[in-house]
Amino acid sequence: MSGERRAGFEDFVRAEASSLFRTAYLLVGDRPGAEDLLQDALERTYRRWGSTAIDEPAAYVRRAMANLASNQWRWRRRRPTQVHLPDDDVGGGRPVAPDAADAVHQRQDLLAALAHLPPRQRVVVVLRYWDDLSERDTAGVVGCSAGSVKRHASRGLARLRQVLDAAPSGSRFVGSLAETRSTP
Amino acid sequence: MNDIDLKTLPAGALDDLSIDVDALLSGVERRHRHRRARRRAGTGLAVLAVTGLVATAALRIGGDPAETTDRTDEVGPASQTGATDTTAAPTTTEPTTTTTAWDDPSGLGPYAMSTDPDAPALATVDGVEITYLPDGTPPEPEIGTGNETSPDIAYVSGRFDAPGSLDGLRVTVTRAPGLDFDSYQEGHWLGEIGTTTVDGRPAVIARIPDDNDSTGIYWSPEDGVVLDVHIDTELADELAPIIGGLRLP
Repeated sequence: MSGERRAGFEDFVRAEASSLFRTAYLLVGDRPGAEDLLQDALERTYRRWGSTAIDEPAAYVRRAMANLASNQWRWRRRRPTQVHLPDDDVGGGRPVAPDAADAVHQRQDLLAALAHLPPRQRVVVVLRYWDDLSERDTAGVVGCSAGSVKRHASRGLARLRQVLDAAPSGSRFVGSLAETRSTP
Repeated sequence: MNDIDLKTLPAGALDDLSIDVDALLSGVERRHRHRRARRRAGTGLAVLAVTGLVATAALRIGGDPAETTDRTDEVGPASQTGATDTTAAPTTTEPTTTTTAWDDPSGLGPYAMSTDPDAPALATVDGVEITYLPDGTPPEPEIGTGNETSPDIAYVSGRFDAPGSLDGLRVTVTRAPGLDFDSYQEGHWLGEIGTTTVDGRPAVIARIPDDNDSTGIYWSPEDGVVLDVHIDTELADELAPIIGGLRLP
């Protein structure tokens, strides 16, 4: 790869890494898994960087992560149904202020709830409601119709509500399921 | 009570998530070098296997008194085509391309599982017998097990190191009470999807370009069971004989 193309790839990664890492984290539920997933997806993107196959790099990486997360997770020897964040995963190892404890609990409950979704629903929910992609853009990333996105999003949210309402920490799901993102 | 509102949660719950971008880029570079090394090693094995096949064919020709002596002299690159023509069944060690198959996914298949009760099983994954493997594939799979979103849905995956393949041949058996094709399809994501059949039962076949360019197919041969076969797209021509070699207990 030429120096210029390589520099372009690195610039892209530096600009998008945080956002892409959050997506990866929500897809797989733990930091090491998210780092692996993102590195795998970026390696695939790196191979094709500069080709016509990559129209929108961030969407390409998200599509790669969606496919990898959906198809390769079964190859993990351990598939946790309960996600427990180690203490050093909170605040990046920095001391957590008391008022951040709620956010920590919410994240733990959220990740545990996401783990209960089938891969397809999880991918759609993460892309729609955390990456704030439109139904059409989500459909474009994962390669299905907008109608399928709507169906999987609806079922995914219903399942999240069911799981979160039963969360042992006492977390309660609020907000109407009809309240979707404002983007179409 | 800890209220979770999906509209506001991400802002609060994920703010402290950060990643070391330099380490990320180094990891990407490392994986890229590793992948190139694996691909070169796979190509080398395929070349060695083909070379071995040609050498074997030459020995057969030379050892057969019915063959003319000038044939035994034709050992070398110029005689490879002729030598392979006289061998028994050609092997599929060298990867084949399947780009034309994806011009019309609906044209793939139909497929059928094994109907030969006497074919010797080369390997077994969760009771499903495998009577065909691509040439040169070691019959000992790496086994992974687990549960899907429900403890009732259990899977067993066998990964075989098929020559010329990056990710290998993967045969996954998923079992659950009431599991069928429709419920499995609901939860599993594939790329460019085509529909086909296996023994007349609906199947999904798809190419996953972002997954080391693999091709996968899944179907439910009977209620409560779903079989899923994945292989590098370059070796997708092996899907038919692989499926044709699967046998339920």
